[in-house]
Amino acid sequence: MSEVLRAEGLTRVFKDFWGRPTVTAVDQVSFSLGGGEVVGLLGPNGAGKSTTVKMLLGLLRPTAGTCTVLGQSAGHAATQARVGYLPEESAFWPTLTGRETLELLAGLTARPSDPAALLARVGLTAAADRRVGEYSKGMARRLGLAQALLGSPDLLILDEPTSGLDPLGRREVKAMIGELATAGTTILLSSHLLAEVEDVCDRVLVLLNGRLVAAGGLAELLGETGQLALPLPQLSPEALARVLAAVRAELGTEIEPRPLSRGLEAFFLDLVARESGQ
Amino acid sequence: MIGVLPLAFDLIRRAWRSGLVAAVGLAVAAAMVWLPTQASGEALDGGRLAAVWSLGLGLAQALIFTAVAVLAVDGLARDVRDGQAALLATQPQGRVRWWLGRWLGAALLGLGWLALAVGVGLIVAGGQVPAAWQEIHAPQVQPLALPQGTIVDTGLEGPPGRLRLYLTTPEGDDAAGTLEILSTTGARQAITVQPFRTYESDWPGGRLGLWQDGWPALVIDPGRDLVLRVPAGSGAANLLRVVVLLALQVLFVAALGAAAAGALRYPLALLAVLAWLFAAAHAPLLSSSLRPPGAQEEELLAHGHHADDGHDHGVSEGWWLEVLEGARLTGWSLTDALHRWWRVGDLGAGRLVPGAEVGQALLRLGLLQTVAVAVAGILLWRRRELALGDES
Repeated sequence: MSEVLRAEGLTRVFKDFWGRPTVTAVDQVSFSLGGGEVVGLLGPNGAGKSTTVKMLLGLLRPTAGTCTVLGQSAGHAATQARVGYLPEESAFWPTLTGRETLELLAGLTARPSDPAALLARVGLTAAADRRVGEYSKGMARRLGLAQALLGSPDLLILDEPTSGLDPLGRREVKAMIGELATAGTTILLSSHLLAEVEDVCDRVLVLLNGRLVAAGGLAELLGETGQLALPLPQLSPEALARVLAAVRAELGTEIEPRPLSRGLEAFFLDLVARESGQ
Repeated sequence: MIGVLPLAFDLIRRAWRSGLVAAVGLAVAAAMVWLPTQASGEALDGGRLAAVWSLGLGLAQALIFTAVAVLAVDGLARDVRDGQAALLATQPQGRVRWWLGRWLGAALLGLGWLALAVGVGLIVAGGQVPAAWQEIHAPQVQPLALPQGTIVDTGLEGPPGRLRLYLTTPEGDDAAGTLEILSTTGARQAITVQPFRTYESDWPGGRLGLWQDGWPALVIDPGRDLVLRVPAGSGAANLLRVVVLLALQVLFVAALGAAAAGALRYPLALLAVLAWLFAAAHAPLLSSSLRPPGAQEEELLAHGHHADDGHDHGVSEGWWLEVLEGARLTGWSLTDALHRWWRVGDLGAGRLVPGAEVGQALLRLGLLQTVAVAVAGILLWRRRELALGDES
């Protein structure tokens, strides 16, 4: 697996007007991303996730350390063409339509994808000719995703990609991330939604107070609890009693069966699919 | 160049949709139509036609420069402040093209407004522009004395045109007398004059001699009070040269605005450029107001020499005058790009704007000053950290 991104001892100290250090936002962070990996960047507010991402993109200069993206220093024009970025805030030009926004950004890219196809991919075809200022937060997020995919990037950096999206949109985004990873795109996903990261990521990096406090594969980090879940279909009271008796005889302890809920998100998605005839 | 044109047109489109293009366009058109009709008194000395091209175009120029400065600052600064910088800075076009795109957008809009101003001016003036005249001054620098009853060769020479003179007399006597205007072509004309008044007369061409009868002596300042105005080409050509100068200034102002936006945060950048425009527009006024009362440049130079003459003066009593003079000269040179090529007033007055001056402006303002500001702006812009939200 070829290396797509490497950060070595990445440090960023913010200073005040007089040059006095005020806060060390990122402190000696080192990690790397291989081709086709989906890696989650986790951490509470103020952990240094966004500052790290900005350094990887060349928007901020590291106080110390280096970051190499696709073989070049971060922010190098040659690599920008191969990096897609979805910022945490969907900041577009409110007077432009969605189509115009993508066409403008496509004009800045050497080999842009078709804006119309991207709009269709993120479900914005119907709103393509509306001004972005009139978009809902979720629509703006979808447009952000489309612009991140404009140059068919090899590395995609997504900062809270599902923020503001409804459950259907979140599911679509997760599916899209899966498709992109399958196609070989490396993805760095910064998110607060741990379940989401767990669903799509191969590895996670956990930042706390600017330091990398944990890194590794999900199975490696989460480990096993020593417990086993055995989903069963609905049983008659007699059948359930026989199963519990057999388990009790095997383990020597009492166990309490709990009904398995499908969860609100699954219920909502089923309902929407049923009502819309899908 | 990938990115430059889309970013330029994007800036124009944003300005169009926000109503700025129409608002400035209407204001420019109104300046060309309305202001000349309001002129009166001295402002109408050159007639309504001159008022269109001096007052109207002068106000239009001020509006255009201000709008271009605001747009050029806004183009980049708004990208940073509103967060679009995160999108643009991560596109592969690079910051140089980003800067150039915003500069070009502001400059193209400025040139469009300029074309509108000239077009409206031509309609209002019925396609007329004051014919260009060239002023010829006598070669002497010392005041010219005219003794009574003696023909004096003024040294002033030129083709047919108009002669303007202003006479003074050391005695302060403003009684009327006779002045004969003599030409080496043989023509002569006698007029009745009084000192301390300006006179104009037809000039047949040749070399000028003067003869007076009425006062012991008359005095003329040949550098200022003895002027020959001779035709120097069509008004249209003069207009074209002034428009070229204005266009170069538009490019410079756009570069200055973009450079300020690249170096400073939003309100500061706008304030800095507007302050510069104000200083440039009022450079002559500020320059003279900074001059100490009654102090001439020669006197200031003399103060400087005294400080170096080896004597112990303690704190020189003239040091603050030198500081003021330094500030005056510095302010003058910093705003040189605008006030040096400010020729709208000359267009209305019919004064020739020489082609050589346009060539000099192309080299100095276009190639040297604008490029220098652009290079400095781009270098600062490339060094700028563009983290989302750091401007809010």
